[in-house]
Amino acid sequence: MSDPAQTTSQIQNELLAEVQAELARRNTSQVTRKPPPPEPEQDSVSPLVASALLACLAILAGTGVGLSLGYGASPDDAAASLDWLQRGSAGAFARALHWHGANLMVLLCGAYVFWLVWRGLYRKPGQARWWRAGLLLVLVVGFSLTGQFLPYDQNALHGTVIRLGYLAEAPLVGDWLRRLATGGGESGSAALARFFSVHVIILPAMLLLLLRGLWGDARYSGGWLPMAGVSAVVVVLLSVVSLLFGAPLGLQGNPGEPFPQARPEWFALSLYVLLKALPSGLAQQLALFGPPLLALLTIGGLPFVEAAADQPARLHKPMRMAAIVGVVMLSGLTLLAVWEDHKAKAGWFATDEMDKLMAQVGRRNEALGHSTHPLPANAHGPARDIRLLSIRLRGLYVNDIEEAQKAQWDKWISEMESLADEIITTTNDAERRIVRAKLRQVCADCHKLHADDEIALEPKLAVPVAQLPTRQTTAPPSAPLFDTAKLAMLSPSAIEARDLKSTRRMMNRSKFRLRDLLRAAGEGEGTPEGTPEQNYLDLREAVKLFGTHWEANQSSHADKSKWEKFMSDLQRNVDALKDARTGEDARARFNAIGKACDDCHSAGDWDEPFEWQYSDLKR
Amino acid sequence: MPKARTQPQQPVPEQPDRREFLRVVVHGGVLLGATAVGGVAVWQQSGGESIVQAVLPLAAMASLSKLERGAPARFEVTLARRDGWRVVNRSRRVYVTRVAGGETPESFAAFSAICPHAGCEVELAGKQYVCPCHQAKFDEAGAVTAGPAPRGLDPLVLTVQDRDGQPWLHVAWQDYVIGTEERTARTT
Repeated sequence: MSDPAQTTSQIQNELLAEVQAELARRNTSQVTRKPPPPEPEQDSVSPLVASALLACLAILAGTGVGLSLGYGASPDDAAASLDWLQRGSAGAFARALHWHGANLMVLLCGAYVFWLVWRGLYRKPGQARWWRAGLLLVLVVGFSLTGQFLPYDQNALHGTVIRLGYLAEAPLVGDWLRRLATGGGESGSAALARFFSVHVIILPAMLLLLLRGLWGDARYSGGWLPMAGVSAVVVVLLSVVSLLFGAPLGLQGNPGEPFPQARPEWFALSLYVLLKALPSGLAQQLALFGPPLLALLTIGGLPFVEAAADQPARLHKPMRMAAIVGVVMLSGLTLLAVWEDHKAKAGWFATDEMDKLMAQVGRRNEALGHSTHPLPANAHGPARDIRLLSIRLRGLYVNDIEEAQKAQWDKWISEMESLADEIITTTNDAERRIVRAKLRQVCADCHKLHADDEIALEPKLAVPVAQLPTRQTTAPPSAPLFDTAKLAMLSPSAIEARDLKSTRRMMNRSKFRLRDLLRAAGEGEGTPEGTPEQNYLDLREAVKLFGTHWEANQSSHADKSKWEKFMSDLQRNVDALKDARTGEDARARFNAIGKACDDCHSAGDWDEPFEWQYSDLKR
Repeated sequence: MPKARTQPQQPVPEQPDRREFLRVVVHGGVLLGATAVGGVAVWQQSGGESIVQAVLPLAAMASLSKLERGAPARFEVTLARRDGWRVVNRSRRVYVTRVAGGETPESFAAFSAICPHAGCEVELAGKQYVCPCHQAKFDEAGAVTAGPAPRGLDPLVLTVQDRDGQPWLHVAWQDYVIGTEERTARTT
């Protein structure tokens, strides 16, 4: 028998050797069994940018679902439904988040692609991540182009019409593409349905295919805190900006109302300024379709052209240069676009003009329907427009307003705004009709003080053809137009000093008296105000004082000699009207006055455009 | 190693570790939060006030003198209702029948044409009302005589009010909850 202690230590040693051998075998087998697949080059920034992108995407998706649940994809409903949604605090917040989130998304995508180029991370075997980033950028631009149209306000409509026009210029397929996008020629209901579907179904479906890969790209090896940190920054930044600045929603889109302020989104301003400067034809087509094609080719082909990551790079420096040049050109042209608009007070910097705003209010007032009719089902649209326009009218006074009248003006504007709002919020038709009548009363009160022009508060009702007034065919026997005794007895009405200073007021004094004379003589439609004799004396007086007007208001009239010639023509013809006889004689003399008016108006170089012609007075 | 190169490049399935879980929590949380904002936005605007009660003119009393017992007349009334961002006018039918002589509101009875079973509109067939959807039948007094209706036709309150200087019969329109035996006025 051997020593038991010796035996035990021997057994222990043997066992230990076996275990060590087995461990060694396992280690080597582990190493040889699983060769790691080639990993794309890792860096610490791109996963974090991808994380921020995912957070931004989550915000867009979540708010997008909410917005789509309260949105009506039709020209009558789009802006109205979004406005209705925004009346709730969460609705305003959700839309602002979606709006600012979309802008941030474009920025982040651009930054992501830039970073991948900068670090050469497009090289094999990292090409899949590069392609995903490029595709994401393309999709995001697609989301933006379709999403811009959905509010269907003036900017959305007119901007999209311009963009579709450019699209149609694409060689071969352009017109087909435009018709595919719009479902016809007009950018109206069919186009809106298509854009909506692309924005909420087709593009999101394509994005879902990318999402798995993006999720992998955002995997970050340096702890979870930086990843959560960038996501938190995105959420906080967007929330704060959205609480401070809501998403814009302008006047309801109207293809018949021009909107020269239409501008593309900020990221397309560079293209906008370029297209403005280039002659149409080949140069424009190159500028329009060259950069996108080049970008697509670069995204697709760069990993094939460039050497793999384990070999010396060939294109790294040129690509870096191209990226810098691209960013500099993009921002330079963008700044140029903004600066040009700022200088010309156009686009974002356009200032409001009283006459245009008033004409816009007038059209919306008509759209609210005749007072004898119930309000139309789409009254929400014009009512909201009147509210928006009255906000712009506050503090914007007519030229010759007196200081004391400004408070009253603001009060009227406020009333206008709140009454327009009541039309939206009131459910009962009878009450809405009362509100509509009050709104028109505010317009009438204000116009009585601030405009000589009469305004039509009610829309014109269609008159059946059978009821149209028939013109008298047999001429009545001719008689003197004016009673000479009355002419001698009466004297012209006094003209206020402020009228004497204002071209517009003097013009209107003459214009309306001439209109009343035409009406009294059966040459114009409507009931004349006052007696023909008084009207004639007032017209003659206005024209006489108007003749001396050049001295009072030189800035309006470029050339004194021209002015005096037109005025003496007018005065001579007005004087000649005194002896007119009814019928053909009066018509000829009226036409001579009318010709004097039209000649002067069409002479050009006056610094205010003329909105009426002699023929308008007869209507 | 040449062997490694020939291996198919499939992604290594990572263990669902703590970091991956946290990512799901963070990004999922952002998605849920944003969806909640959108959800609240829609919820804030859902429903809204809708006119379910209104006193509406039916006909001049003078014209109702011709209305005889056993011959109900059908009238149409129009209600403005909120439809999302729109306010729209919807028409509703009212049956008026004479129950006594005279020109007072009590001389007439009025029923809503909305069938209390499933909300279709009943039609007049001789002296009874028949619902075309599920063949519920009601007698002249509005009581169920056959079919699936849980209760009789819903009566409406009549009043006489002045309109343009003339006495007019007015109806106080009221929507009722349909499908129940008990008659409950709808408030929204």
